[in-house]
Amino acid sequence: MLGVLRAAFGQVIARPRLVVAVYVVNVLLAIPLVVAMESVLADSIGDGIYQESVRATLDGAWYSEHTGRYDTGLGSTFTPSSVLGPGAMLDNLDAWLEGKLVAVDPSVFGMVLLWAFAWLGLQGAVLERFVHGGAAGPSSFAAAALRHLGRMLQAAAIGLLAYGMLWSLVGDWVKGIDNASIDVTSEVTMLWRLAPAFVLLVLGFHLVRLVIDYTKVAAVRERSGFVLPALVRALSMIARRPLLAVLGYLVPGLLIAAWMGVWLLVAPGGASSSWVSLILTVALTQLFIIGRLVLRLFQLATAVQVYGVAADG
Amino acid sequence: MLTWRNIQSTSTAELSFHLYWNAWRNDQSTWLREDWMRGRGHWTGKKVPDDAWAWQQVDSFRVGGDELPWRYIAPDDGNEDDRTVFHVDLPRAVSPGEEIEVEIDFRSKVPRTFARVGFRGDYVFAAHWFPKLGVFTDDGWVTPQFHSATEFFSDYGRYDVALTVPAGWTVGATGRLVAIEEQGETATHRFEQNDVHGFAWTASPDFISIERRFERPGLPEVDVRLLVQPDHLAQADRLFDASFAALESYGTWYGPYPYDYMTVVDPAYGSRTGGMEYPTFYTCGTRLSNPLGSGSPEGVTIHEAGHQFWYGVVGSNEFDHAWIDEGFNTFSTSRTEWVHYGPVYYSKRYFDPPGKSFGGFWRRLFPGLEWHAPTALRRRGRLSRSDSLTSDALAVPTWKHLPHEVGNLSYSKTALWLTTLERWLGWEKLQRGMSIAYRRGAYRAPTPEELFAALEEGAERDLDAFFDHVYYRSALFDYAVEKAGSRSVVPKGFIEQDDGELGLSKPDDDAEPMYRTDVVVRRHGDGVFPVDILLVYTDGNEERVAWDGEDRWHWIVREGPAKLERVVIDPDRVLLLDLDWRNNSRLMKGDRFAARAWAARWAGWVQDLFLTVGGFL
Repeated sequence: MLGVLRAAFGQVIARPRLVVAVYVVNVLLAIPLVVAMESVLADSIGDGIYQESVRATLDGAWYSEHTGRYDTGLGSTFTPSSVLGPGAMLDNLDAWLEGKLVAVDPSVFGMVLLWAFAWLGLQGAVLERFVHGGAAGPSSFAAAALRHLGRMLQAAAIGLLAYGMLWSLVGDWVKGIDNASIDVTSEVTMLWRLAPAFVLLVLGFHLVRLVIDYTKVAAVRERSGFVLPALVRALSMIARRPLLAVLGYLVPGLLIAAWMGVWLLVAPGGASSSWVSLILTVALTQLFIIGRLVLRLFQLATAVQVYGVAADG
Repeated sequence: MLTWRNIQSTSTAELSFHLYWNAWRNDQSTWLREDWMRGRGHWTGKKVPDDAWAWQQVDSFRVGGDELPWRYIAPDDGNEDDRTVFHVDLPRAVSPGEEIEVEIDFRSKVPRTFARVGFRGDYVFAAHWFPKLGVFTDDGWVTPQFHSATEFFSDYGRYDVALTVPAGWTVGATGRLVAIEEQGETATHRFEQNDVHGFAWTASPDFISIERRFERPGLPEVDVRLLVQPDHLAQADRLFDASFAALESYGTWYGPYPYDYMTVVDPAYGSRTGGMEYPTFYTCGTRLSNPLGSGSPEGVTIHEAGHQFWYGVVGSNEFDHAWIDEGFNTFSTSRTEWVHYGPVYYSKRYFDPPGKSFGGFWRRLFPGLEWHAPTALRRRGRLSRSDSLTSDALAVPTWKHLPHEVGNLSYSKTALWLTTLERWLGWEKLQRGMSIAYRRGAYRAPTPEELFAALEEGAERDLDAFFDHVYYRSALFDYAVEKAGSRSVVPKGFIEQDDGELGLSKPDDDAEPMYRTDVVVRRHGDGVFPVDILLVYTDGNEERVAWDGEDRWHWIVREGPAKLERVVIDPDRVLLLDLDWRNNSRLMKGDRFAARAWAARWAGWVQDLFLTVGGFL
């Protein structure tokens, strides 16, 4: 296993331009929204002394007016938790857990959709490089992204179907638990009753993702037009080498979790009252984002290595 | 058994009672019809369990041993299906000062929780569980139907109540526990209390009972009993501290708590009975995860403890004037929180499973946003994003308010105009007025006019215009900077030269520069309030201009050696009812740093959202 991890890590380290490409796309797609948000905030802050108080801190007086002014639309997505400390990560994780990512505000939905397509393409191109190597130029990268987009879309569709079923199943189960707990008077008891649902959700999510990751690898390796045969081969591989398959997914996954845990502790929580402090804060945030991207690429690289070991002996 | 004394100056030959729990007898009640309009929808989206409904039934009504007939009435809306008020004609009139004894046999079916009353498992919280006498006034009986957005009104009296529950259960109630008698599998708990206007109780086998004594110099001692859930035992100190903070602050500011006993209830999980006040007895409410600084459970505990003063001691007709106890108390809660705990920080609850909201099991504090509790800033936001201020005037009886605006008007608007008074008049004068109101209003329900008179007495000035704006009318306040700027006083264009002929003006390079500053301010709303206008110049000099705020606009012209750097209307933020502080000021050289900085920070949220969504793909 160590050899697999070392090789996967080497693949990522040896191809820093992959990380840059993925990160640049992430930033580029965020920029239009950030520009729009800057405009919203400039209007909300106005040309008076809020410019100073909001600079020094997230002024509660201003924020209470902002929420009144922007209770829907892009402005409503600006919340204290979206900009302070690790709140952005927690907000998104919470939306993930509650199944509310699909209910993301319409003002950002379009860019999220664009990112979804871009990310699928990027994964195809990244896997192509990990699996087949080859030319490293931007044009070949883009060509690979386009070439595998159909496969990635199919894999994602299968995954989304499974996730939808999982969230629906857990949601119904939670409702059932709630209805059956109508006389529970202790929060601890309620938590214990809900714990299996939380566990099922997390395990189920990662199980689906594990299968889909290996499916993508299989699809890229074999360049099959349809993904279903790749899915069958991935399942077959997992069945043959379950420990290797799980560890290959789990170790990078735990690293991602640890990275997020570190962010929970160190994310800057105050205002940025000067350009220096702002640049530092933004730089730290970007470091966190880049770290997550690197670790996710490491997870994909590990999947490639694991699949290779299992398939090629 | 009820003994009623007519304390009014007129006779009456009738009695009028509430049967509050009939509000949940079926969905035809006025309460449930209004609850739908309020958008709260008790049990919405769920099948109402059969045992959720409640009722109260009078089996027998006797005066002097004679059975008397009674009938339901619906004095407010004529809803023939509403069963929350009944009326009895007496065989003879009760004269002023005369007493009458009434024997009532009744049964009540406890609901699953509606309006913070009911049961969950073996936890029971019961308020208004008996036929509750209305209030006889010189204008007749005041016994409104039970409305969804308003609460209660009753006379003060003495209660002597025996409650029989399974042995081993803990019981809390209004008043002091005077005896427990065990009878095998059951036990009877007897409570007594004078000078209160209601009696509520709770029972559960799970409560842990802790007693401590409130002792502060200059204030009477109070025995405080906390009934806490085992889950929350670690928060017992915080619940006591918050209760004591209220006893200390309110007692010092307005007048001492006159009862020597108080019971604090930490309600059962999921019971929805938290955050409610009853005489000498109230529910707070907390969760497993509640970091210090989030304002919970301190805020709700102080608020409900504070109601022992504004509701308990000073009563109010909450059907008509919900703003009195809720508004005075909300203002005082914020002040007490600030004095005892300092700022409250933004927090958010996380960790909810899909399918159902449990309110989040984990609460995370974000110290980067301070709410400045005493200004009740959050309430400004609530007001500004609702239509409350253009809805009903506070002078309109509360039960006639648009139901979903009642909270904003009664709690927020009143708290904000009281804070405005504090900042305008000074705390000493407001505190004096409120203490006069407290003293004069004790053990009765003072009218709004009596309260206003007390506040004017404390302020030593006429406040009629202010109350006219905030109480009798729905006035909107919004002052704004329309234009501001400075330019050289040296004229441009043709001027008369030394020789009397017209010629183009020429700058005098040796002269000290002088500038003319023009500031135009406007009153956008119909509300009028005197405000200061702060002018700050580039040389650091400042000037405050007092404006009575009456005209629709006002033009200030100044000349001096420096340009205007900024203008701020109401720089001390006295007028908390000004809905838009954004337009209250103007910086001559502003920048977009704040907008750019926070947008850049927000970028992290978008990028993280992309990654989180990407996790599914």
